[in-house]
Amino acid sequence: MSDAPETPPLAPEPIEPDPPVVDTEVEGSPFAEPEEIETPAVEPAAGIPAPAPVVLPVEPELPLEPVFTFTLGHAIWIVAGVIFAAMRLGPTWQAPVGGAELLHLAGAWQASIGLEDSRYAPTFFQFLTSVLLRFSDSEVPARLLAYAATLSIPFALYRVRRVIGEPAALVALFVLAFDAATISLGSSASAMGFDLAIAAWLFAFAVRREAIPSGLLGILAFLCVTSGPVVLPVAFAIGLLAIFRRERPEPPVLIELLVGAVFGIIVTSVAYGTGPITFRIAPVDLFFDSFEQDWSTMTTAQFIALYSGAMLLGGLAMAAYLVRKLATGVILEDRETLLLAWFGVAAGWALAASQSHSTTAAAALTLPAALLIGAGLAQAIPAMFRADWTFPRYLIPAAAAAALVGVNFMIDWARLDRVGPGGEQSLVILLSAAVLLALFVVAYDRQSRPTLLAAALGIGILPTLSGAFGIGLSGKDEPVPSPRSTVQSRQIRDIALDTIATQGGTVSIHPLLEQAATWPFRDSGAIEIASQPSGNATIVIWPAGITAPEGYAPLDGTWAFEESIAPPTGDPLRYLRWVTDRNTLVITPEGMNVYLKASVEGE
Amino acid sequence: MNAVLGFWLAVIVIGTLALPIAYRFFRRFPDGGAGLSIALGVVLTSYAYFILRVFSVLPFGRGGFVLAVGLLALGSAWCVSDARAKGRRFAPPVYACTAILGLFTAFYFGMVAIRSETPDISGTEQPMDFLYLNAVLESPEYPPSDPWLSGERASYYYFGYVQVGLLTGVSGVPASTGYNLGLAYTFAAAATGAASLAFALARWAMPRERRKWLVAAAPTAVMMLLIAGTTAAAFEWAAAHGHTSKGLFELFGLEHRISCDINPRSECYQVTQAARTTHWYPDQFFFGSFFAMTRLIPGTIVEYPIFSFLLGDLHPHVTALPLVLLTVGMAAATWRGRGKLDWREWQRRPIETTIIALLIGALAFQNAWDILTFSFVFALAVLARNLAAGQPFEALKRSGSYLAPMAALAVVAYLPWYRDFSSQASGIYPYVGEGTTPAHAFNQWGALVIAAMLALAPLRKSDRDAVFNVAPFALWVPLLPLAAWAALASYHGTLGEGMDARTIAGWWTLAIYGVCIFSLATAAAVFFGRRSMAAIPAALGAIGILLLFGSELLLIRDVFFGSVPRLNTVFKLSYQAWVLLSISGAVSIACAFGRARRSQLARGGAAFACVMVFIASIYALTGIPNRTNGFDNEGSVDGLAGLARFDPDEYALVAWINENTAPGSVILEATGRTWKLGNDGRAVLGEQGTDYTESGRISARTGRPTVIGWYFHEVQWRGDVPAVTSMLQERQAAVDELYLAGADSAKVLATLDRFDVKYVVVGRVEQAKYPQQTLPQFDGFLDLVFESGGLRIYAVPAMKVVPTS
Repeated sequence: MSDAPETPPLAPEPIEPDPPVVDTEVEGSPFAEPEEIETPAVEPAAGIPAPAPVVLPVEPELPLEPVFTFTLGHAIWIVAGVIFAAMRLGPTWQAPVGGAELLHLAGAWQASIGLEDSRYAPTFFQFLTSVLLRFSDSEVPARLLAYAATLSIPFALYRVRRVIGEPAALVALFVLAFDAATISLGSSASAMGFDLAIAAWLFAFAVRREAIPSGLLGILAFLCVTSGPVVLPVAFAIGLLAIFRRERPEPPVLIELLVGAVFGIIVTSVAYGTGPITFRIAPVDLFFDSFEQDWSTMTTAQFIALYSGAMLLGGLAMAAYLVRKLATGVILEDRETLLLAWFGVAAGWALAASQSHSTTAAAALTLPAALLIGAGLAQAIPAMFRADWTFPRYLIPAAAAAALVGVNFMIDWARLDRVGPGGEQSLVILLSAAVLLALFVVAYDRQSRPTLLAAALGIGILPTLSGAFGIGLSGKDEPVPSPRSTVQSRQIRDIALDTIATQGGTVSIHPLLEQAATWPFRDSGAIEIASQPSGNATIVIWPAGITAPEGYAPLDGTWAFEESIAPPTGDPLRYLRWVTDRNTLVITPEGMNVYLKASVEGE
Repeated sequence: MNAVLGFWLAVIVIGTLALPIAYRFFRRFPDGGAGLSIALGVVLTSYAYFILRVFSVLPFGRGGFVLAVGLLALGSAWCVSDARAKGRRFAPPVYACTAILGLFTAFYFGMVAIRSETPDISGTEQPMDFLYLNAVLESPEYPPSDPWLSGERASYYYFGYVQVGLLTGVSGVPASTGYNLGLAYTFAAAATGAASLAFALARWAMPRERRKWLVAAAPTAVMMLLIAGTTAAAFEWAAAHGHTSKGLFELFGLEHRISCDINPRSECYQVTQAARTTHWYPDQFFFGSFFAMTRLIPGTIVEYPIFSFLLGDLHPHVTALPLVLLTVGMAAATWRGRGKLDWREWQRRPIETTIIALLIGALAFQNAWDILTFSFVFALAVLARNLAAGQPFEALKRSGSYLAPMAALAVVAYLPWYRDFSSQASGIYPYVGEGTTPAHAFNQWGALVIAAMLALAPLRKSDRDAVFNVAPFALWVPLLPLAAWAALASYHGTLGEGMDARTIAGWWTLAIYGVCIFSLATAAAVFFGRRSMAAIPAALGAIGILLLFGSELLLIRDVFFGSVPRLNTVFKLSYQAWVLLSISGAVSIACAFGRARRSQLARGGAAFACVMVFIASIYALTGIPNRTNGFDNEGSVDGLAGLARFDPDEYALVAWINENTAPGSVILEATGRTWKLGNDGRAVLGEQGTDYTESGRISARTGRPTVIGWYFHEVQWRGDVPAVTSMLQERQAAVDELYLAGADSAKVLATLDRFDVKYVVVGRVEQAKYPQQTLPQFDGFLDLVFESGGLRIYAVPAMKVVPTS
């Protein structure tokens, strides 16, 4: 065990039989120093001097240790894992079908009935979804599959705890447990259902390459090329670093990777035997789609601003710290470099996609951000406790109190939807200035500076938890997922089928509603898609705003297949109002009209 | 503002990623190639995007652009790792990179400020430029389709639009904003390229002890290339305030700028000699004053970059500036390098040679006129390097073996484009005409030529023998084009006519050019002989003036041959000359000041050149406030902001098509020809002109193909041959007949089916160009999908039955 004093001591645990790794020590690393245990010969990375391995004495003569000892560390891992799982359970069961999930479930349904559809990417997960839809037309089995895959993320982190440091891994897991982006993606049946898990495991294997069981590389390559785009940043980062370090895999490894990848591309290109042959690489195709298709009412930038702002800032701070180390000539450890590259690529994607209507890039960003934050907090929290609290012990609580008073005024304004009178405004400005001054005074003293982390955590945790619980508990007014299928949509289908069952004829749906109708009208026989209903159409479903077809009478009611919730961005007061009362957003149905043939109406 | 910053950030990211690649070529440049890395990154990424789209590896949409940048990152990582493996350092100087970043940022935001005062994409050929930008962004398949001729691929050099499209796509701004920001990018990338190149050449050309004025080279190059214009602007400025002297104006061939009473011409002033501005700058309509100064030489267009940027056309010759400077930089780096270049170089450095081939090939794809000139510049550099290392014959052999595969690859790499490209050039012809007067030539290029002639300053007395040795050979440089002219004129039987037609003034211009070329070529050869890098600016100056000289003698035959035969030749070649003379002139001025302590003549010449450059810069100083209305307009960077403000219904119509129709959907809109009701109640054709009108406006603004757009431009792109013209006329007739079909719905549906039309537009132009009585009642048989303020879009009805289980 290294002598890193900043690592909070956890209960000692027995050395696991996993093949260990050797890590170079880097001065001032925010990562907890790894344990150095018995090491087989491992080639050091090019240009990095390998330290002399410390070999722990092995005494076979001693009586055998217990195989497993339950420690406090294990308990904390279990608690973190349970929270991680619990936060994702709600949306798995009860979230409305929406966003990318709505599109991809529709694509999977079309595939399950043998129809070609551009919404069928198809990822391996989407293929499995299409198989599940043959047995049940509910989205829940597919969601459970995604949920199960996502639950493997804690195990991936547990596996790399020795490499990235146990406190870092645990903090990362806690952060991820409350990450709205991964909660949303990891418990929905979109084509990206397996992505987070694959990305996490890819990272785990990349930092512990020697621990990859034989034969798993091919499977991993297969999973990567049949996954969604969230895997791309980490895969790209691994590739980038391999090029940068001029690492070439050994021929057997290369062959294994190629076989897995080629097999994956082939099965995707033949749509798992259900569609026409088209050259496709699912993650790349979905990456392109994430820019072009509307997978969310919110843009990536809006999502990050509402739910993942603290994660992004934390990740950026840690990335800046690592870049500064690089600039001063410190050679980063492999895992640090990989995390930095992963975060950089993901941040580049999020930036490029900032105005795209998709939350996928946000989820791809928060995963490495959580790992970076974990590593950073593991070092920063002990440093915060060691810091000089002489003044901060007064200033920080005072600043918090001032901030609370100020925010209280603003919440009042938000409730009234107008800025308060001049006196209140002056007071808020004064309080803000006081808060900034207090923080500045704390920051001015080098010895006290680490205590600012307390303020940063306070500021970051509140919106993060608020967003996580909003999505985790599937609040009905949460702008994720949106646009979403209405509860009513299936009722519209039942009305339509009842009508043609009793009156004959067909259902006619306007081409503008064709895509939206796929999921609600699944398993409904043949329907007509026409911009002018044929004479045989008994019930016509048209978008609102289009002149009613002749010979048809509208069916009373407000009808919609989909509804969307605009995010509370752009106006700070609107945002505050939403933070304090999640039921303030306007739900906008994508209006449409249902018409019955005049004779049917008359009857 | 987000769009402006996003676009800027996209350029900076690409330029930074390309820095390791640029460093491989330009490590001898003082800035390590930072100034040229922006253009290099954009060109390489755009090529990767283009070729991967052609082979359907990348799909339609923004993601493809982003992934292409990712590929650049991979290439960059490989370059760094390769350099490390070979023990080379990758260390571009931080101060130089910071200076380049600052220069780019300043020029980018400066041009954004100017362009935001006149952001509208309208007038001149801007709709055409917008069309091609939308085509590269919106084409479902590559090579991109021609939106003004549905079903056909673009037949034009459109690589510049791919580059602006790349930046537009990566930054995620709308095409109408990307257009204006693309201009700002081009302006700024040209500034960094010119600064980097001039600084490097000056540093190489100056002896170590005379580098006091070294730093002047970069800003002077930027000023000469991007700020200077015609010196006629000084006369215009004076005339606008009523300060005129008939004699002086006549001396410089500008008497028509005073009043039509003095010298009636198409662009003379219909006013008497009096003040005609209410501001400190001439405030007449830009097209009436500053535009006219690019038409001073009868029968030609003589543009310069500042005019192009103020005008706002995103034309190939404008967007080519960064690439052209990059190629000249590549030539300079090659010249400066050590070792012989032959076919073995392809084995030793396959990546570098391939990249050079891609850049050379890109010249044709970006602005076909540039390929000959700048590939010649590069070939000359290769020859110079080989000559420095061996005997002339061996050098020629080596250069050939190095360049031949490069030329082949430069063509093969762009075959997908060549397949669809139909050049309008149909041979080289002798120019038969009066020629350019020295006064006009002086107005246009005087400042640059004078500056470039300062490249003679490094000549020493001890060079006398060398001068006499090389002079007989250098004499052939101006004589060969003259001989070619005479031979071609004899061949065409116009030698006598050509001799007679050229005025004395025309011959004088030729003689002055000839002497300049001879002097600079001699100097370049002498400097080369003594291994001085001062040879490069001298050679660039000689080539620049040679281009002006050549355009006085020869012309490339195109569709304008019958009316204004040398219009395009003078236009395009003089633009190239502007670039070369700017770089050469800036370096020469800096070098001349460096020698000032020794040579009074050099000091005087340099000071005179500076004064001339300043006078030439009056064009920008007065043109910018003129064009921007004293920065008093309503600012926006959206090229459709004016449309949104003045015709919101038409704007809504365009927005609806952008948001609701699939890329590639054929849209029907007016041909642009005007029809009126005759006395017999039948429609008769009025105005026939379609080009430079609102014809094809919807396809230009959305990239959705229409049946026929600007007729004469299609002829220019596809050739003035019966097969083309009859096809175009047939399309015009079909579209017009549809809008004139009245109650004949069957005819309408048949035409829609024939051209696979999905949407029919009845907008402002259709209502103006066709009599109201003849417009069919589309409501009866098409779906009305959009209506705003009487403007409508109809969709062809759709019907299918789909299973759901």
